Amino acid sequence: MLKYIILLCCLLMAIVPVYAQDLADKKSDVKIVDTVLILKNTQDRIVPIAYGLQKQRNITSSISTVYSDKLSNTSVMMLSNSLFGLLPGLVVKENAGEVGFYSNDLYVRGQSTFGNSNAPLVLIDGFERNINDITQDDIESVSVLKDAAATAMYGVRGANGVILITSKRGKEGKMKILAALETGLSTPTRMPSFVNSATYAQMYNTALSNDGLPLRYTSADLQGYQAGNSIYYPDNEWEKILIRKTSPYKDFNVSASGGDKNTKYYASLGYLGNQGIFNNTNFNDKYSTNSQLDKFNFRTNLDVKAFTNLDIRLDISGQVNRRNLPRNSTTDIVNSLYQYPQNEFPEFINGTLGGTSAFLQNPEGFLNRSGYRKLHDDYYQTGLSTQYNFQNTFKGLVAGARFAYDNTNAITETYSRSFAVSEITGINPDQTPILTVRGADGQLSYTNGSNAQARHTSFEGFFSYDRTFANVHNLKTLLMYHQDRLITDQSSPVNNQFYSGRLNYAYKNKYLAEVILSYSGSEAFAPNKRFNLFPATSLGWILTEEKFMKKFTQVDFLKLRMSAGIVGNSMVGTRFAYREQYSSNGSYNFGTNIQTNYGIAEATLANSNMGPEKALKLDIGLDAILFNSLSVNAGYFFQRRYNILTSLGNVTSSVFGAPLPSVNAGVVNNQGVELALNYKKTINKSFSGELGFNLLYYTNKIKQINEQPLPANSAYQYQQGGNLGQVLGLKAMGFFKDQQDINNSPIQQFGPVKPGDIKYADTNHDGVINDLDRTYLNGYAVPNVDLGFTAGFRYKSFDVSGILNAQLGTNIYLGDAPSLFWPLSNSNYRISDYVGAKTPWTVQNAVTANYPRLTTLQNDNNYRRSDFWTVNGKLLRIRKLEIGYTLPEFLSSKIAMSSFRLYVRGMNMFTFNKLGFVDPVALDNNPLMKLYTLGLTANFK
Amino acid sequence: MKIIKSFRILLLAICFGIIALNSCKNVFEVPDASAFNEDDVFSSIENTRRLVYQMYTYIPKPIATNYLARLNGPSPEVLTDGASAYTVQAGYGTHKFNQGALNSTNVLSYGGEYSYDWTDVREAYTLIERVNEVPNATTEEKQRIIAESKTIIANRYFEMFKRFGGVPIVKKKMMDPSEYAVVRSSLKDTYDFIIGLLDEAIANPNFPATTTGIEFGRMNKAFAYSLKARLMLFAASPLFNTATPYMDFGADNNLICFMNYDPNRWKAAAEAAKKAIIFCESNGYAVVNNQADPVTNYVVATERTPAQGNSEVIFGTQAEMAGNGLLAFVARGAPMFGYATNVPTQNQVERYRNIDGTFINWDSPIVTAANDPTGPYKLLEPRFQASIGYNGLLWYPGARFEFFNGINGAADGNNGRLKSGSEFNYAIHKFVHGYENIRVLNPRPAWRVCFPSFRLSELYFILAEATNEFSGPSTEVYTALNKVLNRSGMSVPVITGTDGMRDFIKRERAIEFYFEDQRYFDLKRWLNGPQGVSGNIYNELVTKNPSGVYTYSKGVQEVRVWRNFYYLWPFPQNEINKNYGLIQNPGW
Repeated sequence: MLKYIILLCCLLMAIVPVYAQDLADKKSDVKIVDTVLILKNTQDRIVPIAYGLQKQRNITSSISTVYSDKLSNTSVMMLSNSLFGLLPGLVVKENAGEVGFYSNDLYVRGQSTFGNSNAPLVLIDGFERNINDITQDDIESVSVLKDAAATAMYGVRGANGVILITSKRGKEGKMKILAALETGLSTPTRMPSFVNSATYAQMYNTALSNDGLPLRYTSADLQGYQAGNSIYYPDNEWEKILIRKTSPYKDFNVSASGGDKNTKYYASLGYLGNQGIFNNTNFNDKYSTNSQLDKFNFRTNLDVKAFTNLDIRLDISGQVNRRNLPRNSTTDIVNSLYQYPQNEFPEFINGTLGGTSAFLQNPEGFLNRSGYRKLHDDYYQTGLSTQYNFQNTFKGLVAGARFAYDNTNAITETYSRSFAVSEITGINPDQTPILTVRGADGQLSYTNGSNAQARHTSFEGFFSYDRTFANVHNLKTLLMYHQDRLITDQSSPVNNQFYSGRLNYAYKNKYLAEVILSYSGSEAFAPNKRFNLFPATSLGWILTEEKFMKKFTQVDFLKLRMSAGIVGNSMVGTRFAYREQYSSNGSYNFGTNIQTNYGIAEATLANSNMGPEKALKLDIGLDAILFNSLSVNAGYFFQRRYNILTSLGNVTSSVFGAPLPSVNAGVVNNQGVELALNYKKTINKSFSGELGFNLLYYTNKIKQINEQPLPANSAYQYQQGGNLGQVLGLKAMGFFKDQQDINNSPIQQFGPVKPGDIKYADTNHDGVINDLDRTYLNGYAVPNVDLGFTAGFRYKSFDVSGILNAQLGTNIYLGDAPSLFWPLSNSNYRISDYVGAKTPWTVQNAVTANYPRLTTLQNDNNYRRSDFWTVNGKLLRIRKLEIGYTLPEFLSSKIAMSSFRLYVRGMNMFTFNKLGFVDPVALDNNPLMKLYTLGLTANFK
Repeated sequence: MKIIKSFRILLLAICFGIIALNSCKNVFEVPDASAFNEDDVFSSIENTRRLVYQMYTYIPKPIATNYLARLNGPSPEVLTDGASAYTVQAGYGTHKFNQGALNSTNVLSYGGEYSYDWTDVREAYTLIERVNEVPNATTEEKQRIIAESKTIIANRYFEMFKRFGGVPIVKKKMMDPSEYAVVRSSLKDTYDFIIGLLDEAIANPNFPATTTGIEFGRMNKAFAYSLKARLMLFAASPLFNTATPYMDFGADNNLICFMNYDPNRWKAAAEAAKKAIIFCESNGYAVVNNQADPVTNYVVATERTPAQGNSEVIFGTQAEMAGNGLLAFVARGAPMFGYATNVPTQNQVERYRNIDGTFINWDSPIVTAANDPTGPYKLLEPRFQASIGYNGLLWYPGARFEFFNGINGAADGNNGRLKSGSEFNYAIHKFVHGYENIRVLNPRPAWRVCFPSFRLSELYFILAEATNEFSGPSTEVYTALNKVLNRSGMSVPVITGTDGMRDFIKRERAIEFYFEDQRYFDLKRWLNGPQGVSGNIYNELVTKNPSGVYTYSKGVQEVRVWRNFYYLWPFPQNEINKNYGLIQNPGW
């Protein structure tokens, strides 16, 4: 702990000696503004909006914000993991991943397009940056900009919504040092389990007899497996052998902030470490094959008043990540644990790895004796902004310029080796095994490295004017110029440019109006389509300012607002599509000794009219505060996304001979409601509490899309008229009873069928079952109902808080994880307990069967998408539970602290969903983790 | 305080510096490297040639050279009784044909050939229309490219002709997507169109007669002549040369037949073949007959390039099959360890004669002498030895095919049924000669092989078949066939009657062009679907007694289905659904 404080001090001394000196001269008589405001005053809070700040009460667009008090009380490795259930209108779609790579998909009000990208624009301190490139503890607020009025300043980037992240800045006052220390254990939310070898052998025999093949395990074999794990009858529970129960987690952060009238600073340093889930990884000399993340981050935000009217901000932040990973991808490793046979060979025989000529990749070796990778990735962000206030010459006018330079790079080192396995090829008279070595133990060698870089530069200039005339007319304007360029090693640089302006007018603080115009462009489009005008407007009426509302004393604040406008999406997935292009394509071998000659082919035909997607958005809402304790935000939204790219090739004949371009012809409508309730009450000095609830519900409908024509009797397969993310699947009608049942049923064209196979409905009544009989299984790709519930109570020195998040509307397709749900074929050699607990079809239990007949052969009839393999994906997770204790001030002040708090916290502790067997976001992937931590935070005087 | 001031000034200077450096010019500069368009293609002959090469990229190959090729693994030969693919691999596309489950929707998944046809045609027209603009090319080369492009179009159209019958005729590069609604022309018009293209190519003095050296594999005049003969044989055959097509198509009968029977179509085919033979042989092509032994003659003729002594390959595709490419092709289990996409059947084995001209009776079990596993096979003719791997064959030292199952306590062979799932107990050997030599190298180089798309031998077969049909089994027929058979140490026995000769030619074609993508379409043009595709497909079960005696007995491995509407291929259903007037072939 002390070490980190010293480190920080060094940093501060190096970078900001001026402030320290400055501060020493000053008296600390500045009153520190308490960040916890009473509810009524929250309307006076200044919140971030597009390129500016606005008083909460005057906002007429749709924006939700969450502040550091909520965010910093979660333990996550990446910001996108802490947003569940906190921001109404933001759907966080969770992905599992290995340590430090969890990266969730964000959707503002759900999916709105079937085009290339639904991803919102994310800005950190005003510049486009990756949402995960900021440390939790450095964040002051996260806002979601949802309607057209909120995002129109971003023009062609605004259609998918915008997320604004603001980092902490220094406030006038004495230096405050905040230290946070947390340590804990992570453990998988759920791990799938598998049947033992004895059951496996029995089920395998059943499958063989279903296939009409000779049985593989004799009764002696079965008895051998019954007796338990031995080298001749192995029972390797790979997931138990190679996955740890718990992995350590630690997180330290220290920050210092303060300043005077002229200079303010915020500086922080942090470290986060988390180990991965793998076991036995220190078998090797001098290196580990476990995954491990070590993350170091720093930030310095400076505000300097250079001259009386000139403000300068300089922000520098960065992060250095070091990761250790097994040589093979962790997804492959987890897959091998779930797939590799547990009874074919022992894990070890006499200290060497077991295996057979067919199974050379003993999972133990695949994980631990295949080498390792080291990833070094880091980013540095620099932001510099200046603004000049013309208050002496032209009151209300401010001019400024902002510049950002960000750099990220990633280097991978890979070290590989091969390993040998021993196969038992016979038994000696003394009952010891005769071993044959397969493969060879190789030396660790550097195989390949990779290197990726990106550089993002942005430049902006602005004028703003803010003035109140005759005490009733408040006028605020902003004119912006923006350009940015992203240079990566993937494609030619991506450029954006726009000119935007906003005019806010408020009459007597009662009637509010706003007009926004953006003329913005992207070089992806044809010169005549590059720039588009995006207008938006919003209106607000604060009823509580009206006389007639004064008698409703319970209503502390009531505002009605509405907005309308058009915003765009330039990320359509293809750039320069307006140009005719020839590109390298195939090759052909001529000559007498294989001369490869490379061809060049006409690429997709040019679409000289290609332009961005556009969204027409309407929004109506109300914001209210009742009883000085309950805040209500409610709204309805409608979005018509049009100009979505959709392929002309789907409707034009192949006779044309060239790939046909996509055209801006698709349309999707999306509408829904949002509700946020927050109740906050201080009962007395020792007890206070708050409860929050938020809800998003939306539906969408594809109104126009170019689709491949379908036969008239299968018109139900057209996507048009359905919702985004719907998936086609067959309708299962139980299992075939017997051969006669098969003969009397429509022919299923996916492959040979036998009794016990899944029988499907002939949806189009054409007498055969094929892909045309698939109908849409109800469901969205992104949850269309998102609920958040937060609670926090404080009693004397104790506090308790929690976050709950529920998501509805999606489906889980079991076929996504064949190793767990489709055993015995396609190299899936284990049977999960999910299948083990089912009753697979056999002649004897044909009536009670709830799983198709087991088979060792590829079965394209059963193992394909149908409602049989679809499980409702509704999910409820307790994202966080926490209990804290704050040391009474008279005690903490004795140890030079203004506050000192200890807490116990659990993240992702409880998960409820229909598929109980495995975590729905992980299936056969890296398990999702829960985390238990013990932590302390200390504010030093 | 001084230090503060200077710090502030420094910051200010940095700000203005950066702003000055970031003036807003050239934000949308478009990178040059990605601006390569059609004008650039024709700005130099080097670029133009790349478009020429592109026309060959998706040329249909007789053999699937990678795992996801045309039929999802197996080669077209597997659609006939001569070969099969591992039945356990339900994903192999040929199963859908052989089980009768093919329809116009699932036929789509086999490689998208139909759209490749049109891509190629478009590329060829682009060259024909614009090659004259190339500044640094000689007139000879420009003319050559035009003739070559026409041959490419003709070849594509022939491939469509034999699959679909009459198809849309496109005579230029279409510029506007709205022109796409071209409907099918009659079979006769399609035929005339192809003949016209080939005649134009043949008449072009700058079209090289033959392509050798580094140009081997490019189309030439010899190929144009040969393709013409092949096309005319197809046109003369019963499938098309009739007034009553295989299925009545009413008013659209002209899309799938010539609307009359004309014996002169056979005569024309014979003459075209004769002309082609004369042209080829006067330009250096010859049936390979100069190797060490008859087996090598056949191997060189079917698997090698001109530089390796193959003087009869007129057009061939060279493939390099690394790793999975070759594995996809060869048998499962020892010694090849492949995926068994192409497995010879007993039906094919029974076509081969012994070297003395007699046939083996396979219908009753054959019991060998002790330790003589190859007993039944060793006297079979050289083309059998060159094409099929069988039990007891030593592939290379240390690697023997052992397809037997031990009985009465004898151990199974290295490729016994339970060990590797071999189903037919044969392995493809054609196209794998020489692989044994590189197999042992480390790292193992990719396997290189030349798949012949047109060999001079075929012209003799066309001449023989067409002559026999037009004027009976004359000496000319015997001479033509013996030209090919003799180099494999075989000859035509005495045969009476046109029918007898026709049956002989049919069987000999199945042998000579095994796995060369001929038989499936031969069976169709002869209207022999039921005979050559459906019915029992046999394996050969081998057992071994501890005494070393092997017993060979024949068993039914598959029962295949033929449907009459299979005679012509379906257009992809989604093309039909586009509703611009494309008529689907009958029955689909």
